Amino acid sequence: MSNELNNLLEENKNLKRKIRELEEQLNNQTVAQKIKKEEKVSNKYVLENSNYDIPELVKKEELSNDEKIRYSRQMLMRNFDADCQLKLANSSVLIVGAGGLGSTAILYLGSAGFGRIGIVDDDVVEGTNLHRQVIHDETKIGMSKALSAQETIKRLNSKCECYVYKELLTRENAISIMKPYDIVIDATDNVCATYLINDACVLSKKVLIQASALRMEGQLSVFNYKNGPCYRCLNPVPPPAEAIGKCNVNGVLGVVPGIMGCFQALEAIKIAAGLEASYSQKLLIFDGEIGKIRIVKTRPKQENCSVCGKNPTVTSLIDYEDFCHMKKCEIKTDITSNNSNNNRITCEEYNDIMKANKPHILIDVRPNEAFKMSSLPNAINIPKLELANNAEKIKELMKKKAEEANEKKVPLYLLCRSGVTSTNSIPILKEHGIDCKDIIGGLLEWKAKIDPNFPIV
Amino acid sequence: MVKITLAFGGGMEILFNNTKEREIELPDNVVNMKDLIAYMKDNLLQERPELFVLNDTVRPGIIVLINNCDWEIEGNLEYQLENGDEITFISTLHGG
Ligand SMILES: [Zn+2]
Repeated sequence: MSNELNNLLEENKNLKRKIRELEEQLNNQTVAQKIKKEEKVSNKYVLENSNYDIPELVKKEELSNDEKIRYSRQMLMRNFDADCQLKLANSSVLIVGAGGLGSTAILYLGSAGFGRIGIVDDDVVEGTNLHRQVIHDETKIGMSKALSAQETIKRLNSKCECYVYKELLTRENAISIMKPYDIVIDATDNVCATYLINDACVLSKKVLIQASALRMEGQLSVFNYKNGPCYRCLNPVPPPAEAIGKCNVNGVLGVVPGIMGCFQALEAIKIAAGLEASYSQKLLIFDGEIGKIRIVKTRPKQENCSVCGKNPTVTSLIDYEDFCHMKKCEIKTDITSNNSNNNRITCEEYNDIMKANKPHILIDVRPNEAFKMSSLPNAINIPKLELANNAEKIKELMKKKAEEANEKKVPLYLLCRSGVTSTNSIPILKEHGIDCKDIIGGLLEWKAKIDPNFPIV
Repeated sequence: MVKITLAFGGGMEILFNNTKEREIELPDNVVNMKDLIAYMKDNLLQERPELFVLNDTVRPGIIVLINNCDWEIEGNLEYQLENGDEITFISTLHGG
């Protein structure tokens, strides 16, 4: 009996191993297929290696019968006739960013009847993108976003020429990439890219449709249109780096960038069709939480604007990370993570502290929403913004903990997602006389080094 | 007594008690936008003044609206507050 049982158990173990091996093989095969698929589409519509020359868009004299039928429902409109549709067929639009904004913008622009669209994105599709980046799907995880979007457009509208650039828009390539396009859409997610695209549009005289979205809010404006203002006219000085929220820290409701991307597509279609843009020298401010849309009149083109004004100081593209103070903050975190600064401990060190049950306090400084999704068992949540207000409470906590442990003092550790916010939180507490250290690399590092099952991305 | 509405968005509300809209009565010495910003910093702001003000005005990256109009058109810091005004502070967004 027991012999038979042992044999069965052994057999079971072997079969399980075999299943794992086969699954792994299958997985490798899908990845290989995906790469192959990418290679297959890398044809003349994928532009790389600094060669951005594309043939001029062949201008049509009139629409084909197929086109007249396909676009009949929008050509039925009183103010959008065959002439407007023909103008779309003879127009091109460049979308920078195939993320949340770009997804819907590209889908609608691809369907609308534009003769040519271009897509710039250097990123690859990740699972956490799919709730908002609806042009991609589960089968595209790991694939270039630009290629994935191109594939979708090919299926949606084979007549639309779709060029892709699988790289980051930079001061070196921006002007050449934009050159063949009539309209540019800024669907990026960061302030450096927005200034870069604005300046490149001013220098190469392109209309720019700019939008952004975070949490449940969105903003949109049309710049450089018929002598209207540019992004710099409204925002001559970039915000301080630490005042900028990001989707992967502050969150974003999927549909909100989708809505803003639709607005971008609408403006692009109107402009290309020869209708009037609605948001030049106007700002659309959307708040999905309270259901409010403001349309706000902004200042006109500014004579003293450093790029579009009378005596511009920006006459060629500059270093935008430097301009937006992004380098400084990156370098700062680099230095602190590279040396064994005594303000920081590693995940391994913290793991030892936890396992040995050494008395201490751990404060997770991420926003409450992120903390609620996943956190370490003994962490308490005080978001960075609320640290200063809670300084007294933290002091009391430390005192209480020390008394409990019968020690003079217990250490305080700060933790966040990537180790940047926690590092930047140390001076806030120091100002209130609280000594603390933070955990290098944050929860991402914790997942990589200590607990691979920790639910964070 | 001048009564105005303050509105916040783009994350600015986090600095002001997490309210997106509120009515306030202004003390007599608050007559223009410059006074209002100083008053808000000293009396309403809950934390991190550097995320709201820089050199006696709002920091770069905050859209200021006076009755839904860019404050640059309305006189910026010199604008004289009137009863019933809606003053809005919205942080520029960078995400997509
Ligand atoms: Zn300008």
